[in-house]
Amino acid sequence: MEEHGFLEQIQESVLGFVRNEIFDPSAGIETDTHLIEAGLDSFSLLKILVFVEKTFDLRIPESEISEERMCSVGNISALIHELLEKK
Amino acid sequence: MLAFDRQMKLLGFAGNQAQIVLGIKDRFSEADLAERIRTLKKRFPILEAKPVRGIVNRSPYWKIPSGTGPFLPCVRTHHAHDRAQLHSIKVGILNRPLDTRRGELFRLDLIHKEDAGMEVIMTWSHMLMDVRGAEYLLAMIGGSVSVPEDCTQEGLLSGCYTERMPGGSKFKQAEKSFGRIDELALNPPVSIYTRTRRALASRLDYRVISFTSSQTDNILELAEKHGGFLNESAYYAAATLGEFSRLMASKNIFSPGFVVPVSIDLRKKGTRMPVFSNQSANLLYGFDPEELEEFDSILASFTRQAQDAVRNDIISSSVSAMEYCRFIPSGLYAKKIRQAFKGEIASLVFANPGKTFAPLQSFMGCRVEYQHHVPSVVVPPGIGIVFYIFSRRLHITLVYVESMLTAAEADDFLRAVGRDLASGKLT
Repeated sequence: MEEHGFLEQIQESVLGFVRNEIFDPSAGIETDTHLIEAGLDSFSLLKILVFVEKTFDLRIPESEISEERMCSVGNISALIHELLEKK
Repeated sequence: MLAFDRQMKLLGFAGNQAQIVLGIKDRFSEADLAERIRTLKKRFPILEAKPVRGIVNRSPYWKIPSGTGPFLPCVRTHHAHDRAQLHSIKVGILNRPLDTRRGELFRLDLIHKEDAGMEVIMTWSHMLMDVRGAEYLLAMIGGSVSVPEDCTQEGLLSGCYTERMPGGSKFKQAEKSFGRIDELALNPPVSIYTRTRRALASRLDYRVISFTSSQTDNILELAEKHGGFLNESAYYAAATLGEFSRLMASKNIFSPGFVVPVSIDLRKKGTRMPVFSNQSANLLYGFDPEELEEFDSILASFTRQAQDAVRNDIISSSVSAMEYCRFIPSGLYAKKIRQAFKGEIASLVFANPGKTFAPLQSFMGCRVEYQHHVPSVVVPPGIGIVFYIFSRRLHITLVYVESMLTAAEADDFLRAVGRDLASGKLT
């Protein structure tokens, strides 16, 4: 139950950043929106990675940065959760 | 934008403008097109605004026309009988300045080809809008997108510049950007233009190379493999800079450093609004000559510099610096940069706007067969390259000052870049 709550907190934080700092409100980003199809570019991806570093004190390894892992807020949050668990 | 426009005009070039070229199999009436533009101009008078400076603080702003004045003619038709004539007409259009002082901020040229098809060329001033805005305007003219309520935004980057000098906190932020210029100035770039300018005509020429969709897929696959996910700009830059360094060597030009401004789109993702606004900034990348000897070292350096720029918030610093520079007379600004770089601004201009605007697959009800981007590169360096994908096909445009490179050298350069992209190494 607690685990689920932590993942939700991560999702809320990542979603807030992606909605406010990366995308225009008209894009209507949700947890499962495909970010690449919505227009995510390389600098936006870098901004997300730096946000993760600063917020969660976590550097996502390059090997984990793929379309599958980064295509939605849900997937990014799951990756952060997984990496924090391993820490 | 004003500074570079002024600098180019002083050197005898058309100015800081750019083009989108649409290739169409059918034809449509010039009168219909002119009527659509007229309607849009009525609705958005900024399309005929004049850039002027405030008397007291020299801050630039748009002087919007009353709306009742005569509209500037902005559609011209040409006829090309063969490929050579087509290219010659297109080069002529590229080098014809927009009369921005009279409010000519964009124009359209139609070229009727021998095969019954036509090319539509929109030339626009970067003062008014960037490439994303220009694509949207062209789609509005062509009728493939709906016309929004408002396309303009008052503010820093819109051309409707802020009237007041920014505060001290912004200056602190801008210092990082000025510091980056100082850092690069330690090894200032040398451009082909400056070394050979006395023999040069003040005209731009260009070449385009296109890949098939399967070649494009292969290049993008290799880009991800070598440069990482969504990092194709670094991959394109590696091929370009590696070959550019070889081109410099073939002309016996040694440069202690290479500086490449890369255009960054500042818009929030998922929107093209505001259309009539330049929302781009340039991020300066610096390379040592040794770094350009290997494909992988260029790729790594480019990626590292992009990461550092985001970590250290250099992009926001550049925006703050631009805000300050609005209060400096434009000629002085360009002069200051050239002084810092010992007469240069950069080695080569690089841009990767990525996928072109999907609605531009059709224009005035006709299917668009191909689309090319042709920027007027700032002089110096007088050479620039842009990568873009239209209809799943990668295209590269190389723009350069005529006679700075021969047509054969330009073709060889593009072919070499293409080979490198297809193999993931400097061939």
